[in-house]
Amino acid sequence: MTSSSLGWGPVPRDRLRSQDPSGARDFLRLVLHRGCGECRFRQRDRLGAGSLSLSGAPCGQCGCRSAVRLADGGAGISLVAIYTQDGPVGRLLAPLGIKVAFTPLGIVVALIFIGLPFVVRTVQPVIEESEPEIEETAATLGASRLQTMLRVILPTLAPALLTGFVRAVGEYGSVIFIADNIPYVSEIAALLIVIRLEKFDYAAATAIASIMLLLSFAMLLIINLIQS
Amino acid sequence: MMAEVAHVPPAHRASPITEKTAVRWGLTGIALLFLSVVLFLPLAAVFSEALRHGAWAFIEALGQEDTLAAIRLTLLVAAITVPLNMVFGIVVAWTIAKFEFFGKAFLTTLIDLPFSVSPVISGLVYILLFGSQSVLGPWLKAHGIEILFALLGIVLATIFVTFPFVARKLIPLMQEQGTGDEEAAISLGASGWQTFLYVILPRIKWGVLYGVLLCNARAMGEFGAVSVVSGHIRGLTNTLPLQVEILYNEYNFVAAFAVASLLTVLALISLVFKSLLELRFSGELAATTRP
Repeated sequence: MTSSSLGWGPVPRDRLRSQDPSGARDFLRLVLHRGCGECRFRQRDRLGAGSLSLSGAPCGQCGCRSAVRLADGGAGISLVAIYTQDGPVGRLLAPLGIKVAFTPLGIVVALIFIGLPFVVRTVQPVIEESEPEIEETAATLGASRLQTMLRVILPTLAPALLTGFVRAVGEYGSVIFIADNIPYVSEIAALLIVIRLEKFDYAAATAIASIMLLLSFAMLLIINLIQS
Repeated sequence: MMAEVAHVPPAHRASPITEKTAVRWGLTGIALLFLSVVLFLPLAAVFSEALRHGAWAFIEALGQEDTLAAIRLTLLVAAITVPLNMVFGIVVAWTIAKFEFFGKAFLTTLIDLPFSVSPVISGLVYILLFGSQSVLGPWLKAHGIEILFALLGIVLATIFVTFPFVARKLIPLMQEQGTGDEEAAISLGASGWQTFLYVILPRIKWGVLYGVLLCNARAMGEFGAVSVVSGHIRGLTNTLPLQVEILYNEYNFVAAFAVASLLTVLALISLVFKSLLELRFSGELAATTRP
């Protein structure tokens, strides 16, 4: 409504920034989460149904979900504390020439942190419900484990994984601390809205917001189409 | 089948659907390393940074007037939003789970909206709706109703953001329970209200509690949406997460982390309660595996 009163001018180029790291992040998480979820129920198989597996305990039960509850702002500043050059992890990465805090890489880390529980919570039930017979069939037909994973299991997880992606596009609280918020380099879309709002430029804020909304709706639509 | 698998030594069991032991432990190792770097370390860092200058500095930081005001406001907002969302959640879940009507799919999608929309946009919609430039703005001003940059706005934004928690817990649960019992109750002469109170409610109470816990945790920790509508007035419209931001931007790191640790403790407490619920009433929460 408000945004229709202006052209494309006020929508800045760097609004697309927030989608960019999401791609790398979701790929990362996808790989690791396959590992995490897979180990989880396979190991439970081996150790007996009652025992919680090593990776299962942090993954499904406490760690990830507690992250949801940890306030965005608190998450943001604690990530900075760890990944600055003096922090416990940042100190290890600094000699390798990797800077995390105050770079776009920091945005990736923050989005992983905040998006992890969402992905686990949507992917985990899908993996748990998937029947071993499907994998057995794949094995019978001569597929290797890698092939089974890539071609049989992963496609069923696609909608759940995309859900996590949708959430990451609009993330704000955890990112603004670790990103340096340099225009055109590490400014995320949600922050642009806030900046416009602080200048009482409601039309521009709405313009950016409507594009983000369209993007979210498009992705939800794709998820629903895949599922049906 | 599981017992059988457990007794056969791995060397003789070449299961076609299990990775090799090395691969398995490798994956577990990567996952653990990953989790510790992006999840456990940040959690630990909150406390270690907060206590960097000792317990006294920590207590002093929490005792500041503005911080105490933020704690009061956060508790007040949660006390208003959580009961409201509990009621809304039950109503919506009941409607969706037990009745067929036109537009049901649309309503179901609408419930998920707060999860998929950016928190900043959630706040923005209230500014567009109630701001001084909006259609309602002049009217509100004339009647002396303050919504934006006041308690009401924060409550509205929090309600929006935390709305899905109760409803999404209850919908699958109530769908699974079916309508048989209610039909029996009604055929035995129970009124609609009696049916709800004596038949439906006892079967969903743990699901409700579960949803309320999540809702509460999120209500206290919401940052983005509240940040947009609150106006950041110290001691008046600053909730705990916003207080963290302000303290941090003032380079008052100990205080910022002290407040953050308070939020983390709140988070951990609700987590413990949630796990207890899952442990104790897993049967009654069975249909709630989907978030």
